[in-house]
Amino acid sequence: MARPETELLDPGTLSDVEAFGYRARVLADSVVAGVHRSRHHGTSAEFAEHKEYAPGDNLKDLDWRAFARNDRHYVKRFEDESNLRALCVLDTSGSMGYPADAERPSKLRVAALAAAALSYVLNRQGDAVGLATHDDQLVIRVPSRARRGQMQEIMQILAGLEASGPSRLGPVLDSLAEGLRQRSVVLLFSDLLDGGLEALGALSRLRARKHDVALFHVLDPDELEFPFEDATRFLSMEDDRELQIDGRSVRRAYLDEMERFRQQASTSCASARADYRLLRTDAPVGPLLGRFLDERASARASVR
Amino acid sequence: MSFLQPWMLLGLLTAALPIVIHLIFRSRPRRQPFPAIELLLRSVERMERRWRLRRLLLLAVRVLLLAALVLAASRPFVPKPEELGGKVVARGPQHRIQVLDASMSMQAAYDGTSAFERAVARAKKDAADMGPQDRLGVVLAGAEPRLALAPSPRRADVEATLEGLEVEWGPAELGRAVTVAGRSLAEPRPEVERSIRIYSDFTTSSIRSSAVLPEGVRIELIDVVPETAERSNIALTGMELSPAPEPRTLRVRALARSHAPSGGEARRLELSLSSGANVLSSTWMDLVPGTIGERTLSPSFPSAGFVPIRIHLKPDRLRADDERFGVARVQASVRTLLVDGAPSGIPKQDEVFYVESALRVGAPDHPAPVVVTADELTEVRLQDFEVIFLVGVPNLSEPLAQSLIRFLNEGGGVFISMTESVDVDAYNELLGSVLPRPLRGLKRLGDAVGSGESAGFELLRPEHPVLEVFEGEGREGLESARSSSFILLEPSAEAEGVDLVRFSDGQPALMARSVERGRLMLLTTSLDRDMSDLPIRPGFVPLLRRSMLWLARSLDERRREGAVLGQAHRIEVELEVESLLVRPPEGEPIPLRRARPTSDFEFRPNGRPGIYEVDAPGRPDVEGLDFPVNVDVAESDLRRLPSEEVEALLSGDTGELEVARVDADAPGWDPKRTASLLLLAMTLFFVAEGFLSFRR
Repeated sequence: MARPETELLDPGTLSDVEAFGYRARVLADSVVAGVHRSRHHGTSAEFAEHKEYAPGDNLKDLDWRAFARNDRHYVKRFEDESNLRALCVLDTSGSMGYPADAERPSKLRVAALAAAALSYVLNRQGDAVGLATHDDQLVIRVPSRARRGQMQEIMQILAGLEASGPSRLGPVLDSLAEGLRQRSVVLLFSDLLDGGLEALGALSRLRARKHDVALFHVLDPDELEFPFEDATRFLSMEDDRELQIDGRSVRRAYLDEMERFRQQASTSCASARADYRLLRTDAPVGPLLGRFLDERASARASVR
Repeated sequence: MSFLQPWMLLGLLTAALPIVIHLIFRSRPRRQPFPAIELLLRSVERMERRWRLRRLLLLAVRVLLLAALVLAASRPFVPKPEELGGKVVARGPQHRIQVLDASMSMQAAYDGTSAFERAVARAKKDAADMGPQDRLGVVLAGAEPRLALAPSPRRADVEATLEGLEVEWGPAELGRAVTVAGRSLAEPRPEVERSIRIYSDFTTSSIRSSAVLPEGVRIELIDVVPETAERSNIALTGMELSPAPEPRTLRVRALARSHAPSGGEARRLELSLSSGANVLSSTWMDLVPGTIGERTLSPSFPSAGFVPIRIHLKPDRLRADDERFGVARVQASVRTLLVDGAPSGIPKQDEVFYVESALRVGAPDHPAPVVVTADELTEVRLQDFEVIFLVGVPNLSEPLAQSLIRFLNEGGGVFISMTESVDVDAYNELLGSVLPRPLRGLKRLGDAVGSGESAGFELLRPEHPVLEVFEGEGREGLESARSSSFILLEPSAEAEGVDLVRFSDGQPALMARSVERGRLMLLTTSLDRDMSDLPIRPGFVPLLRRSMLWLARSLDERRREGAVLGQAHRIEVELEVESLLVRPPEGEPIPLRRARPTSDFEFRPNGRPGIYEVDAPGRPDVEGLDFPVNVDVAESDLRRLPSEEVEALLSGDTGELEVARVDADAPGWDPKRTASLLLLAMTLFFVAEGFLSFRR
């Protein structure tokens, strides 16, 4: 039996991902030194800026030289290196189990692969990374930590995920916003089906709590292209709904509806200042993640 | 709505075929788990209304397509408005007689269809509207109205009867026809609605007598001529024939009448005269609308005898009256033989000199007379001559007399003039059978005219063809002649001839009679100046010319008395003939017999106009009886009688008839029209079905 890491992380994907260093667009407020810069001023020796003294400031940080020159009290502030806290949240509802045949990996499988790759990169550079899953409820499977052995635990859980049950993304995001006490990067992997689109409004609440959010919209080619031609009885994968229809007759209307759905998802993410990425199950995951990390790094560089 | 073939409605069951096919071939879908079913449901929800409408339309179109097919096969029709809304049941049974005007005016064409064809078509349409309890009969209003079909419940019988009717060439009498129709509607059952429907053009000559009807019978008038149709017509109304001076030539005077509103410009008509297929003469005639015009033609005929002729115009609305027929008697040249009884070397002392000179001057277009002596007469073929003048022949041999009698019997003409030396007994013995009266002897009033007593000439029958030219000064030119001597005739109660001219003392001077097929004239004085001064009088030349022509029958009426269709015609046959055979232009020969041994044959032509040939079976010597039959020109006036006048004419003095006019343009629904509409509907359904099926 193969180990979970080797099962999920194929060498090609990992090489694409490792080619870029991951840098969050915002500073992590972790106190652990790492490659990421903390947005909080800390104890390092690198001067950052002066700040006018206010009651409560540590008196040891007063800059007496500046007082001598300006007759004003300033405190010196220093930049500090800090680690990133990231949490991968995977949708494990029934719809993520598509397709069920062995010809193509399911959406959940592709989402797990992408989550594993990102977790691996973050963990290797010393960032804290965790894993949560949800169907209609959020389950924190592995809290975000930077300890050794974290990846093995994450990989084992990812390898064992199965899609089932209904999905309720809205309450999940609300509970996530409530539960995350430290600023984190939230990496969402979901197909947003079954009410997920309406739940994207909760992204703004996450952003309001200073969390960085990236949404990986996982969709299968069948959902994007609707190749069904004949009369077909379509069955819901999360409840008992079904629909008998001639595929050709509804194809154009469905594709229009899907395009609208994706546009709304993208628009909702943009309004919440969250990243939106379409993750097709028939496309290689590596290049997508590589571009994602590269763009995040570029954005960070422009901020600095 | 009713159906001509209601059993075909069983085919409506096929309208369920699309539904059955839909149920049988409903697809068996495969099962497919699908994550984005929410989007799919939303898509379907957006299209569902449109899909449902299209499916319903498709199903409806297919059902309607089959239903229209079945309905078309069932031949539906819609009864007339008065029969709608349950009134069919409420009105009860109807008995109706259709009276179709078959007069000649119904041959007039309007928009390419004759009025009679329109009448039959409309009557068939009405027959198609018959209810199961109705009965329909047919009366043909021709020369003799007849019940073509007694009231029958079978529509097929009515249609077959109507299709067998033919228009006639004579007048019709709608009043009598309605009376005939009324007799077949005498059933007194009160619940039966009885009516007579007249299909006619209602021209001015269509009604001549009132109708007698049982009580409660309603009359309905249907004018089959379109209301806006123009009813003008030009007809040839007469043809008169008269002799012409030239041999084998006639004067033919044609009369034409325009039945149109007066005024307007004259219309130029082409008038032609034909004999058989040959056009002998053509001319133009300008005819002002509403007037009568005439034109004379002078055709020359290639041969003599009885010749059928026809004058004709270019056909117009009513072709039947654009031609008239006649039989002309064409006279050939008159060949004359002069028998000189006392030849003389001095012309003025020869009686033939005066006769020959008079005929040469008076009849230059005829061959010059041939002169022979009495002795030479036996060597001459008398058949080569039409007229023989015995000029002062004193005595006759028996063979000569027999030849003359035979000549007379075969149709020849003989003119006999006297001389003082005539052998009265020999004449009476040898020619007594043909002389108007026997000769008695010479009466001498003086030695010569001007030297003693003489007698003048008096015309007794100036209307006779020989004397009709002596009018006014012309009469005086003949009556101024004097005679000093003449041959007296025996008085006879059985005189065979007529006195044309007499002497002033009352004695006959000129007599004429018919002998078998020939004619004979007897002048009791001489044709030279021995016994009278007639040869030097102005009347001498015309008298001899007219006598020659009369003896050769050239002055006879040039035409056979014609007949008019529908009217009685008498055929005069002088010979003893028991029966005749009349051959119309079309149809079987008609045998005729005399009503009484002494009466003429009577015939009433009812066929078509033309030359009716007449034969006497077993009598080849009877010929020249053919006669023309022409149409009654009263039918040529196509102008419409107002409805009030029709009602008044039909009602007569009683004025109790219930007459109503029915609009000819509002017939019952035409099954063919319905079938056409259904066919159009089927085509539209078919196209719609294809459209709905194709567009997904």
